[in-house]
Amino acid sequence: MEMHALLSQLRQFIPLLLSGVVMTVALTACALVLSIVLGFIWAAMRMSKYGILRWPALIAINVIRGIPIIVQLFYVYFVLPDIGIRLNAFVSGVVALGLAYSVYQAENFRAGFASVDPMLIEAVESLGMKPGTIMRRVRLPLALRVILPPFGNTAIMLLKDSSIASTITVAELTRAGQLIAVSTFKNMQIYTLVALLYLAMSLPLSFLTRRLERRFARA
Amino acid sequence: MSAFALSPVRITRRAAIPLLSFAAARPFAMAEANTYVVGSTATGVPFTFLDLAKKTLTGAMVEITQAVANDAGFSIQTQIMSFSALIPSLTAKKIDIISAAILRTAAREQVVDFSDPIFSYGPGIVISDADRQSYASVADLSGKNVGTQMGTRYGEQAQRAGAAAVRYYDSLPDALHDLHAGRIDAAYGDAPILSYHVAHIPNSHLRYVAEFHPPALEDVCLIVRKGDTQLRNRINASIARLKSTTIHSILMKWNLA
Amino acid sequence: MIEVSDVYKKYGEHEVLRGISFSVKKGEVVCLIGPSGSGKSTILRCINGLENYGQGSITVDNTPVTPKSLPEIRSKVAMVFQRFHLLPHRTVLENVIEGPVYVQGIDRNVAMEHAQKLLGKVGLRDKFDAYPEKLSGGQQQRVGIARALAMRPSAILFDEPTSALDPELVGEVLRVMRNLADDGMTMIVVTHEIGFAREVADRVLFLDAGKIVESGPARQILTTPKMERTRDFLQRVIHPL
Repeated sequence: MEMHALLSQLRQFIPLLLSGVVMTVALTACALVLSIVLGFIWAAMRMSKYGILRWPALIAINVIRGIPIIVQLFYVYFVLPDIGIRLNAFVSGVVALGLAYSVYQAENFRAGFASVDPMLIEAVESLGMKPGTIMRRVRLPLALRVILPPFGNTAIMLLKDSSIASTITVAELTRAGQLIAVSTFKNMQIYTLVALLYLAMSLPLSFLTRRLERRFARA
Repeated sequence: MSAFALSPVRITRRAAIPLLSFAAARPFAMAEANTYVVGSTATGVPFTFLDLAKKTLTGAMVEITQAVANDAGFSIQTQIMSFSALIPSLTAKKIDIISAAILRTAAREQVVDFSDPIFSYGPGIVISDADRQSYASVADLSGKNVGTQMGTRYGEQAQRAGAAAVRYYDSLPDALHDLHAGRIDAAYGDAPILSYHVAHIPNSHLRYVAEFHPPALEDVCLIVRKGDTQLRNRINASIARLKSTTIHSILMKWNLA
Repeated sequence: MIEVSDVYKKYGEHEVLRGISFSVKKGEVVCLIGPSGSGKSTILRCINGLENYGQGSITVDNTPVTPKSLPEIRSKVAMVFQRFHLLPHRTVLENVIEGPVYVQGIDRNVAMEHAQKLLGKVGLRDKFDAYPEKLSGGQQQRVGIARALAMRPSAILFDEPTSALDPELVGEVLRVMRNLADDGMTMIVVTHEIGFAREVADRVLFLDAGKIVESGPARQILTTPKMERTRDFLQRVIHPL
């Protein structure tokens, strides 16, 4: 009877938690894409030969790096409407998380491109290779080898930090768990399920990242 | 060993120090404890909320709880937490009493024990004052984006009434903030809290719907752990004594009676 | 076919080339020797545009070396580097076809056939699918030479091609270079390998402190140098102790 009751309760919770999972995945994916795009822009500005591009990027990166993500989130959600920019909760979450993580991506991209041996570039320049082709055939592939493993770790961190959006009503996994726990008072069952669901998402990512690290480990 | 060494005075003195430190370490283990930790929220205006000028918790429930404590002969320490943390904190023994605008429901009664009722109220609706629609009953929330407080049943009610979407906020002021920002069409929650907020926020462009008929009125009580009968009885005795006098005048003071 | 005329170059305040002039005829093998910092590598890198030069002129097949003409210059002149600089993420074969396919636009299969022939010529027939990190220094340098040859250049510049190799691997590279010379390739070689210079070079130029101190037929410069500085340098290189 106990087991039966427990299972029927689980059947009630699971659909709600699973819709939380869908929201978490959507939030993480969108924020990740945004962080890559912005990160690329910051990195390009940082590596530019024009000071007018380098300095704003440096300032932006340091400001974003110095403020907790949750504060940035509250800023986007609660403060921006006061100046006329009203974003819904999901978009606010994507913007805040994407912005916050763009600085990690930028640093990673920069390190990746810096790792490409300039002498190697000279060698292909001597073949007469044009800058665009050099980027495509040499810089990008070599930079990616250095970029991908840390990128994997960043993605996992972003997955976990997506739970911050629960504070602004986004119905992602953590919020879904909170809502159920607060109405049913079954904190242990619910939060254990929530933790397991996060693990179900992050462990495959961890595994993939370790594979990437091993594949690109040869210096 | 001399007779004096074993005299009652000496024994008491030698025993006093361990006894005293034992007592200091476990104040609540005494037969009838005299200090209880009370959990309240800071956003349940006018029941429990933070007076920013005096930097203390104030409100109708705060004052009633103090009156009950004085009458019953125990002292209280207050802890502020979010609404949804109240019951878990009580069951986890981080607090002993909940004093907040939290209504007695069947679901909650399975987990905690409620004192005799102090006050009753139902839900209310707040909308943007640009919204000309009339909201006489819950059914009028159909098709709207409704904001409610997490941990109350108002969300379910709104959903059953056909709301387009229900958003759950940690507190009603947060819901009102989003209503003001246009992210939701209506806030649905404790009527006294909503009406107090709307009356006291300048330029809110919000309207507390006066014509709304709540589906039901429910009770506000003091809450203790399940099985803490002794404390519940002490509280009920005091409530009974103070109901028509102190409690009534406090409710009057806060425009609740 | 390569004319270097009165070339000057400064790095900040330091004059690294102070009026270098020489010419290289088609099919000639010219060796540049001299102490480090003398400007030998620098003048080489000015020829294929990896460095700019201040005054003077450099022409390859009558085309002056300018920032605009570099694509043309680089299609005529290839370079082999001290530290090989092969693409680590490509196999040996892929390294050799990279230039022909992605710079010259040659059909991949045609380029592969040619690359296989060249790799056979330098003695790496069984290493087509190996990655550079798995090869010895000597093998990597031979791939570097094959890579240069794949571009079908009119001349090849060698920047200390064996300086980074373990001594026992130097020979295999020098042998390949000798074969190239015998086949009539125009070569300018910056090197410390005096033996190679003596056997293979047509002419030798001795540079010191940015100037050509002495130049002439290889055998003559290396066995009976006229200038004292040349003698001192050769003495120190051939008999270090």
